[in-house]
Amino acid sequence: MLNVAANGDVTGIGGSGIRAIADGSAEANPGIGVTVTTGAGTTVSGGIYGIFATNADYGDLTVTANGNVTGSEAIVATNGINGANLYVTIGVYSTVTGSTNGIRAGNLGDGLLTISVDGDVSSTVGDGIQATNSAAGTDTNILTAVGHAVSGTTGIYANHSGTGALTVNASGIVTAQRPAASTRGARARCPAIFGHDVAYAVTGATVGVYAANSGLGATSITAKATSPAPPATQSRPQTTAPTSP
Amino acid sequence: MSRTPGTGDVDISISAYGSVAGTTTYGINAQNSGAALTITTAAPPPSRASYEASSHNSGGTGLLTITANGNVTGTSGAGMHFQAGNGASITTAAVYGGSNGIVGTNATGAMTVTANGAVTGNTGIGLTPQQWHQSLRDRSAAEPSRATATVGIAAVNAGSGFLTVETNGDVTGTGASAILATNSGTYLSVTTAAGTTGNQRRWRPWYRNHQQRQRRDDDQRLWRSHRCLERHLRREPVRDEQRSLHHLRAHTPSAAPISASMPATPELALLISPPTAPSPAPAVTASKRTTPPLVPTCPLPRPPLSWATPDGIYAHNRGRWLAERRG
Repeated sequence: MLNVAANGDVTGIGGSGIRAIADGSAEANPGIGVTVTTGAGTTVSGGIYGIFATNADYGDLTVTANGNVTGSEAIVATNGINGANLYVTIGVYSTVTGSTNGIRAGNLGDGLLTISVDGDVSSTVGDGIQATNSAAGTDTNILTAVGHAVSGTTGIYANHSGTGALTVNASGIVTAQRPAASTRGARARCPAIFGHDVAYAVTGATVGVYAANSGLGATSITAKATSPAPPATQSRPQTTAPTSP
Repeated sequence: MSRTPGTGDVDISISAYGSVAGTTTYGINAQNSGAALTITTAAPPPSRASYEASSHNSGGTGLLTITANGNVTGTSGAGMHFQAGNGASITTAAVYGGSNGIVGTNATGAMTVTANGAVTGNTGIGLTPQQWHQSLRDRSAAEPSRATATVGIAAVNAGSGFLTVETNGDVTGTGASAILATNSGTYLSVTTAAGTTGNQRRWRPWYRNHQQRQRRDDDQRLWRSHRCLERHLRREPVRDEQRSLHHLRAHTPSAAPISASMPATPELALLISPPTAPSPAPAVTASKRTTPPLVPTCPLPRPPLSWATPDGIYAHNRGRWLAERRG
């Protein structure tokens, strides 16, 4: 069991704010795993990662940020093949800011991947939330709260291969930012929500929610808020209807 | 200085108004091969507020206990340096090290480090990565020599018990991580209540002989395997293929239709129409997926030692790996 609790500010100027790694147990034990918790009002910042948590051990990996987290990648959570569930929770009034990705969570374990966001998550050039659940996993759940925003070149990116369901419930605003220089001026603003079943035909545009399910379960995408209105100069309307093959 | 090769306990107590200062070396240097070693200092007057402690209880069968109620300052070396053989309980006020703040290792049992004041590792001569390796392998205390990676708190527990690091004041690693905690036991806990700052590295890898070059190669292999898993997790589907709904439907099992929620209130401005029923779904097997399931193809991640990337908090529970490396 590895437990890191930061109730004050943590700064890793050349590395990570918090780097927590467990690969120590040779046998399965339900009581073990990795837990990283930051207190309310704290700031965890790193030159590379804000929080970098890897569980190559047995058990769950749980990352709970109740304060601000910043880094080139703000939160990176990886659960290895011996692991079970992976939980990433962003508390109320928290902000997660990364230039590459806001939250990147990968689960190779045999359990859930759940990302619950009650604060704001933003990425400059990457995904606001990037979730990957392997074939060994079960359900993938991404939940965002009302009144809070998730933004990135792709707002929410979910790649699900597990045996359970893929659920994206975006109650807050999900914003797909226009990419940087390489595509400026040439792309239409995309719809806020894309699933494979809906439309992925807006070539080169950014994506609010990208959900790929190569697993065995169902895909459910719910949106209760919209992206900001497209600019007046936009020439291409939003597309919401499914496209025929 | 106290050196006891006997079998009994050693207790060193500094009275309320006493002060200990080592002009060129340690203020307190206690070595014990017997049972327990206990050092207790009271809070000294502010004008005599420092001493430097080095305690070796590596051969002892009892607990190493250090309770420093006054400030500890290592002018050129570590503020506090200890080596425990059978468990350690360290409680300090503020600690300042000309190199590292607090450096300690423990061979068996549990280890607890509680810092109630600020802990600072300055820019002097600190630990080398090789010494860190050495401390992990041989359970010996890492003696500072020539590198300049300085940490606030470095705690290595080679025992099978708990390693607990608790800080109630600011911790600063001027030349490396603020808190380095490595445990081969069952439970590792790091709790901070104040600021924790790790700074840029100041060391360059230095490999003198074949053995050290082997360690360098070990580090590089570990780093590569870590990057391998990173790439694996970042692998994205082939988007060109996924633009094809035909491809999508052909790979959607009939028992698991894709659905999207319908708007229940006007606030749901975006509507995702549920797709038509999937075409008679062919029996899809995993082998037909063009996007193969994510199965790790590389070893478990073994990140590099934190010297390369100074962190605020570096906590590593690494018992199995440590056991393997010991052979």
